[in-house]
Amino acid sequence: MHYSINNFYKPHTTDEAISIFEKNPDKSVFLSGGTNLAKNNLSRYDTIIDIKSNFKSSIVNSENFFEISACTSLQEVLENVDLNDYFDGFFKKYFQMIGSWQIRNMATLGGSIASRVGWSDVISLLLLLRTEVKIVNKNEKKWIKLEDLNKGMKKGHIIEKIRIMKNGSKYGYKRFSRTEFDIGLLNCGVTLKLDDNKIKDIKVVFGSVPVAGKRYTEIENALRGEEIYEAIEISPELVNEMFDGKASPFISREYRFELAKVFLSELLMELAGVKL
Amino acid sequence: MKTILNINGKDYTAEFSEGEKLDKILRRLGFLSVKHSCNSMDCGTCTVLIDGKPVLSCGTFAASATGKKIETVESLSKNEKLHPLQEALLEENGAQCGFCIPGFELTAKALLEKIPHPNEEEIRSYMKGNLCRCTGYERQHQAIMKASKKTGE
Ligand SMILES: Cc1cc2nc3c(=O)[nH]c(=O)nc-3n(C[C@H](O)[C@H](O)[C@H](O)COP(=O)(O)OP(=O)(O)OC[C@H]3O[C@@H](n4cnc5c(N)ncnc54)[C@H](O)[C@@H]3O)c2cc1C
Ligand code: FES
Ligand code: FES
Repeated sequence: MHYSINNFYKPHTTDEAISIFEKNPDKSVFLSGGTNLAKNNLSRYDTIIDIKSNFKSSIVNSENFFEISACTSLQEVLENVDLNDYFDGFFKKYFQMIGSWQIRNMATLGGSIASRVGWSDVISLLLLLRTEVKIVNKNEKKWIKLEDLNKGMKKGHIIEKIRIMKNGSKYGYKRFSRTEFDIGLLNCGVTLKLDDNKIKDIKVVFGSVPVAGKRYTEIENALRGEEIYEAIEISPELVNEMFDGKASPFISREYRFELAKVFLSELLMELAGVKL
Repeated sequence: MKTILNINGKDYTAEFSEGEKLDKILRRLGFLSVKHSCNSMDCGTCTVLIDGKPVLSCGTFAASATGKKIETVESLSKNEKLHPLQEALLEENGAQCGFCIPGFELTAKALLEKIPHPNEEEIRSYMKGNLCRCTGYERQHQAIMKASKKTGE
């Protein structure tokens, strides 16, 4: 029970939600699936603005991208046929790793990005794809790259939509957790485009390090242009130099580093179809 | 706030404060099958169906549930006849202390509505949010298989 909460609104539009928020910005908070918010201490708030109940979930397949409304549940994303057809089962395979069926029915794509929890698989997975986020507040509506979310999104912004661009890369993702249902203690994703056995383009994401997923552009730059066998060979050394994993209560720094090395080289091998 | 909650097909007038979660309100209204246990969305004993989908009532604000169809396990048996899933659980000895069973049955019911004949892997995947300290899951999963034959016939 959150004793401080006196007002609960269920707006129908983003503008309505923002105008409620602006009446009392210090004491208002947006609610989507609630899987993060409902666990938190809400004593500093007196107003909840529920932006899931009356907002429509949708996944629109356009020529160059998929546009997903922020209140779409993770389970809806997981099950979407067009998304899975285009991305070769990516969402079915990897969103299945997130929490439980119940959690995925509740949690939304927008809430999962906005909450920026360290263990987020959603953020790491969306970073692998080319993802843009539409943020809206009382003054502006703009699309930003997911990579720039920390810089671009401020208090009072609502994530309204998410766009996932279409492109022809191969993707791989791994996570380590103590049990299947538990949150990941490290996740790693790689996007790879090869040209005649050389790396033409690559993205490397590590998440739960313990902070939320981010791209490791230094590692990407070092691998781009390399011949794939060479890239596999040097990837552990690059992790040693450029990965910034830290210790957390459930896993040591050293163990995170070892996992990071194994995940990166295994993903490179898997995506390139290389067997040792 | 004072509002209407639709539970198992009937409207109930409920009075609760804006920050209260659905599990507490359902219990207050007499739906004691809804267990309040971990309170952190980890165990699944508070599972209810909202508009047919399993969700965790300990993480759902009651105010969000107005205007939606809430189902608890009390809705499963009709005219004193158990639901095929409940029969199968008894036949397979899938319940011991019973604490996890209401949440388990609701998730399993929703699973069978979604996938009438789930395989072992699908059962494990969809049911992994319903923890059980007693049974080791094998018999519960067998019960779902058995019920799928009964309901899917
Ligand atoms: C037991 C458990 C296990 C989990 N396991 C995993 C896992 O393995 N991997 C994983 O990736 N996730 C996992 N999650 C989910 C994750 O931790 C977050 O809870 C979830 O992604 C939040 O989404 P939500 O829609 O419920 O957000 P909410 O809880 O509703 O909101 C979270 C925050 O974001 C803000 N917010 C919400 N929506 C918006 C919006 N549209 N615009 C602006 N701000 C917004 C809210 O104000 C709040 O501060 C797990 C959750 C639980 C409870
Ligand atoms: S009491 Fe809700 S998941 Fe445990
Ligand atoms: S039967 Fe006892 S917890 Fe499941």
